[in-house]
Amino acid sequence: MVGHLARDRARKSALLNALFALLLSVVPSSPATAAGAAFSQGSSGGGTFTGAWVGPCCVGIANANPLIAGGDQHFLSKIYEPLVTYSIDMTTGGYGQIVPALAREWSTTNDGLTWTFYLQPGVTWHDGSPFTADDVVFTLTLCESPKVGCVYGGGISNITGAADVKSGKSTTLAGVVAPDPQTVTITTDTPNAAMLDALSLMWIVQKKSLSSIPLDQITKSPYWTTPGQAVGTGAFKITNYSDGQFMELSRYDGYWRGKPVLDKIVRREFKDPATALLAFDKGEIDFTYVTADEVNREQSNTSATIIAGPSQVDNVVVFNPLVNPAFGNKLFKQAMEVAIDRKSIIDNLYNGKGQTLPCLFGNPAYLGPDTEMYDYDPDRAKALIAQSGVDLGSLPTFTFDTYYNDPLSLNVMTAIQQNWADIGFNVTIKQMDSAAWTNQYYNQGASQVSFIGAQNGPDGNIAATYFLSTASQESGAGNNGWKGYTYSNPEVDTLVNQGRSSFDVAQRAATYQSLCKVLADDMPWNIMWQTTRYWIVNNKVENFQLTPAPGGGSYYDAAETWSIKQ
Amino acid sequence: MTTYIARRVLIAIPILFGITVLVFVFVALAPGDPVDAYLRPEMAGNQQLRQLMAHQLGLDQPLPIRYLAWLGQTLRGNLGYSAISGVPVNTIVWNGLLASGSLMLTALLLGVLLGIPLGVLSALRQYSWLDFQLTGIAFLGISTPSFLAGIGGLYVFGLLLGIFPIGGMQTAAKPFTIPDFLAHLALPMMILGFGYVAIFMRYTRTAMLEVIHSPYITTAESKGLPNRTVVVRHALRNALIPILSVVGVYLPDMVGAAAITETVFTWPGLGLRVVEAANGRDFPVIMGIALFFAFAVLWANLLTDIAYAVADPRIRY
Amino acid sequence: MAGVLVIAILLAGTILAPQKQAFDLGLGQGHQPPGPVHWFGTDALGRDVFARTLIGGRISLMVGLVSALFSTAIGLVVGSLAGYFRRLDFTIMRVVDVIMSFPLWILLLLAAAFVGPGIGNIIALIALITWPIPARIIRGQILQLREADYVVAARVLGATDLAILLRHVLPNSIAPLLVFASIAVATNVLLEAALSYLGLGVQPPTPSWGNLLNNARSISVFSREPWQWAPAAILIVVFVLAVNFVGDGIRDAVDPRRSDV
Repeated sequence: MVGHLARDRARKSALLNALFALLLSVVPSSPATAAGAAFSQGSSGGGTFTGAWVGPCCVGIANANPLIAGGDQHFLSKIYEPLVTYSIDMTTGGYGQIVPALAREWSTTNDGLTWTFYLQPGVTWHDGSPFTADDVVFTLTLCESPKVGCVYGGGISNITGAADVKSGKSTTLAGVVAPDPQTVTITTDTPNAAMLDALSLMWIVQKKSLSSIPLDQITKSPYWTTPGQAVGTGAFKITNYSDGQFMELSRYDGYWRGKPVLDKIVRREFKDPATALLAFDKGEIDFTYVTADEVNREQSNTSATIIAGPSQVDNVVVFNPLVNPAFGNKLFKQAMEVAIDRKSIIDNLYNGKGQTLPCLFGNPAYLGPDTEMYDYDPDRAKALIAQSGVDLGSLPTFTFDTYYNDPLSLNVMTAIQQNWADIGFNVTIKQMDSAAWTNQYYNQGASQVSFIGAQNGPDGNIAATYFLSTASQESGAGNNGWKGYTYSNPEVDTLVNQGRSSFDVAQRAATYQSLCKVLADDMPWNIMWQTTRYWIVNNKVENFQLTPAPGGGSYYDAAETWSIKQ
Repeated sequence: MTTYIARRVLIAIPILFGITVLVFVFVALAPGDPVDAYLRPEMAGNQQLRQLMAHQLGLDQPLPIRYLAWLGQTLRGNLGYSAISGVPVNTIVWNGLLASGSLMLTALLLGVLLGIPLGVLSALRQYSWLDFQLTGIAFLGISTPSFLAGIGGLYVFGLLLGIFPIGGMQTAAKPFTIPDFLAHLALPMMILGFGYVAIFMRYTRTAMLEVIHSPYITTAESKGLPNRTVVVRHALRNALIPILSVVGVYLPDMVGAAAITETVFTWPGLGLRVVEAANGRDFPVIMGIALFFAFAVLWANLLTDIAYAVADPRIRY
Repeated sequence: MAGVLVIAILLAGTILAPQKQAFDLGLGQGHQPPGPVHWFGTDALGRDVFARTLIGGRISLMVGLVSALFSTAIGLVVGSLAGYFRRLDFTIMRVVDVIMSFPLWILLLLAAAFVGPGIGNIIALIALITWPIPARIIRGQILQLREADYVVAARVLGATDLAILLRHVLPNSIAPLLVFASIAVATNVLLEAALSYLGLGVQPPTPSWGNLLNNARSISVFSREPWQWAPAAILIVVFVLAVNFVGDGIRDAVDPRRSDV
C-alpha cells in the first residue's frame, strides 16, 4: 500500500513569498470568526511573536518535555517534530488527514504488519548535526522504557518487542529497525491501522544529547528547558528561559522546510487566562486562548481575529453502575440523555457553537445517517423510565461531581441538574480538587454521577482507550472503568478490533459507524456534545494557522511562514 | 529576658519538626496522590501509566521511610527535588521568596507607613466626616476579594488607562532592569497594600481611641504640652502594643499569603507555589515551603513578643 | 443604632426573599441588564440576580457573623488565659504557633475530603483556622494590662484571678477584638467563596454573596455585566460597616475609660 507523496508546502510558500513580495497583503479585518486560519500572504521578515498558551490545552512553560507533556503541544511543536502529523481541514476548522512531517513517505506490507518510513533528506538538529533513523529508533525505544514516563507509549505498544522493553527484559526495541540512515521499519504483532495516529504524537528527540543522561533522570532533567541543551528539529530553538515568567524561542536558520520568517517566538506564562486576555487586549501579546463566555466581548475587537474549531473533546456524564443498579440500566441512561435539552444549553451557554453527539465520535464520517441522536424529549424520557423498571421516587439524591471549576461548566451542570429535576431525578453539584476527584473516581470507584471531558479522536481507535473490555495495549486494564467495574460488551470489542486492523478507509468508517450505533444504544457513557474552542490572534500576525486540539494537538501549522506585519 | 529568648529558640526546633511531620501526614492523608494529580483526569484510568508514574515519584515506599528520607537530606541542607518538575526545592523556595518577599514587604511597608498615620488621624478626629470617609474606604478595601481587586486594577489601570503592564515580574524576553521590575511591581503591591492600609488603620484608630481618653493624656494636655508631643510621645507609645500585635500577625505573610494576587498577576511567589504544590500533591515542595513558612511564623511571633517587652518594660514573661 | 438597624434590614430582606426565583432558570433570557421584571437583571442562566442576591445574603450573613463570633470567642478565652496566667502562656502560645505555622491550603484540602460541603462545616472550619489571630492580639493587651497599677492593687487586696480578669482586665482590652470581629466578618464571607472550589461551603446553584462575586472572574461579566456582581459587593461592604458600628457601640458601652463620649 502506498502512502502520500511529500508535498513540501513550506518550500512552495517560501517561494511564493518571494514572488509576491511586492504585492500588498489583504488581511481580513472584520471581527468575523474564521475557521482554521487567519490567512494571507505576508511580506517582510523578522519580528517577534508573543503569545500565551493557556486554557485546557496547557499546563505551563515548565512543561517542556515532549515525551511526558500531555499538553502544551502546540508550543512544543515549534521545537520538536513527529514522523507524521495532521493537516488542518479549512472547511471544518478541525483535523484533516495524516500528512508527512519528518517522514516524507511510507508504505506497509500487505499483511499490515510492517511499516517502512522514508525520512526527509537534509534534516538537521538545532545543533547542526544530521537527523537520522537512529534518532527515531532511540525515541521509540525511550518511550517504551519503564524508567521514562512517556505518556504516549500505549499507542505504539503492539510493536514487536515493546512488552520486553516495558518489563525491563530488554533495552532494545526489536520491532524498530534502521536499515539505513534514511529509513525506519516498524514491525507490529498485530495489524494496527491507528499506527500513524499514534506516531503523530511521538515527538522525535535527539539520541546524541539524550543518551548521555541516565534513563531515570531524563523525565525531570533540566535539559528540556535549558537553552543550548534542548535540541529538536523544529523551526525554532530554545534561546532563553525564565522559570515562572517566559520561554523564548529563536529561529533555526537550518530548518528543513526553509528558513523561518519570524525572528522569535516568546511564550509568556499566565496563571489566569483572564489576565492573558487583558494583556492581549492591551497589545502586550499577540495570541491567547478565549473561553466561550468571553467570545462575545472579543467579537467587537477589530484588530483581532477569533479562530474557532472543534475541540475534539466531548463533555460526558458518567453514571457509576457500582453505586446503583439503575446506573447500569441502558434504558435509564437513555432516559437521562433525552431529558437534557442539550441544544438549549449549547445555544445559551456555548454561543450556539457545539455539536450534540450520540456517541463518543465527533468525526462526521463515523456518524451514520440512521444513528439515533437522542434529541430532547421529556415525554420520551418518562416513557423510557417506565420501560426501564426503575422507580425514580425510590432513588436518593445523588452527587454530581466534577473536577472542572470554571463558571461555564458549573452553569452547564446547573442546567443539567434542572432538566433532570423536571423529570424527577435529583442531584447535588459538587466541585472537587482535581487529584481528589481522580482518586475518588478511579481508585475508589466512589463517584456517583460525574461530569467529565473525554477525547473523541482524531482516529476512531480512541474507542479502544475507553470502551474495550480486555486489557488493551493502549491502557492496560481498567481505563474504561474503575475499581471493580469494567464495561464489557463483546460486540464493542469485536468492532474495535476490526477497526484497528483494517487499513481500508471506507471499511474503517463503516466499522466505526456501527460502533457508534452500538455505543449510543448501550450508553456506557452519556455523551453530551463536542465543544467548540476559541483562540484569538492579533491581525498583525500573518499566515497564522491553528486548530483547537486537546493538549494542543499535532498538526502542521506552517509556523515557519508566520510573520508580523511591521 | 535572655533566658526567655533561649527557651523560645530551643523549643522552636522540636516545633519545626513536629510541623513537618504533621504536614507530611496531612498531605499523605489528603485524597489523591501525586499520580492522581499528575495525570490529567482524562488520562488517569491508564493503569500502566499510573504504575510507572508511581514508581517514578517514589510513591511505592511506605510513608515513614519517605519522611525519614526527606528528613535526612533536609538536615544536610538539601530540600530535595520537585516531584513534578524536578527543579531543586532550594531553588524553588529561594526564587519564590524573592518574588513574594519583594511584593509583600513593600505592601506591608505601605500598610504601616500609610495605615498607622491615617489611623491616628481618624482617632483624633473621631466621628468627623474624614473619619467616616476613611472608615468607608477601609472597609471597601477589606471587603474586596483579591481577584476582583486584581482583575479590576488590571482592567482599569492596565488596559483602560494603560499605566501599568499586565502581569509578570518583568517584560518578557527583555533583559531584567530595576525600573521595569518596579513598573510590574507597582500595581500588585498597591492592591495588596491597600488591604493592609485598611487593616492597620482600623486597629490603630481603635488603639488610639483607647488611649486618648486615659487620665494621663488629660494630664499631659493640661500641662500644656503641644498636641504633637502628646499624640506621638504619650498616646501612640501606649497604643503601640495592640498595633505591634497586628503587624506581627501579618509579618509571616511576607513568605507568601497572597496566592490569589500572585495568580492574577503571574507573580511566581511562594503563595502561588504552595497552592500549586498542594494541588499537585508535590511532597518535597510542600514540605520545603511549609518548613520555611513555619520558621517565619515562629520568628515573627518571637520578634513581636520581644517588641512588646521593649515597648513596655513592665511586661515580663 | 444605625448599625443594628441596617443589619436588621438585611436580615429581614434575606428571610423574606422569594426562594424559588433565585433558582429558576430562564435559559433564553440570560445576560439581561436591570429592568422592570428583573430589578438587578439576569445572569448567564437567566436567573433573577435580585432574588439571588437576597438569598445569597442568608448564607453570607450567617457565615460571616457566626464564624467571626466563634473565632473571636475562642481567641478571647485562649488569649486571656495565656496573657494572664504566666505558667500557661508558654505552652498555650506554642500551640498557637503551631496552628499559625500550618500551611492553610493543605488543611483545607484534607477538610474538603473528610468534612465536605455545608454551612455548619465551613463555619467551624473558618473559626478553627482564624482564632489564633485574636488570641495573640488579646494576649498582647493582657500582658501589658496585667502589670498595671490597679491590677496589682486588686491582687494585693485579695481579689480572685477570675474577678480581676472579668472586671478589670478584659473590659480594657476587648477593643481590638471588636476590630478583629468586624474585619473577620468580611474576610470570612469572602473565604467561603474561595473555598467552594474545593467542595467546601456552598455549591452551585446555591448563591452566596461571595460566589456571586466569583462571576466577576470573567472579564466579560466584570466589565459588561456589573449588575451580576456589584450588588453583592456593595451589600458586603454595607453589612461589614454595620457590624463595625455595632462594635463601636459595644465598645463605647463597655469601656470604663470612656468617660466623656
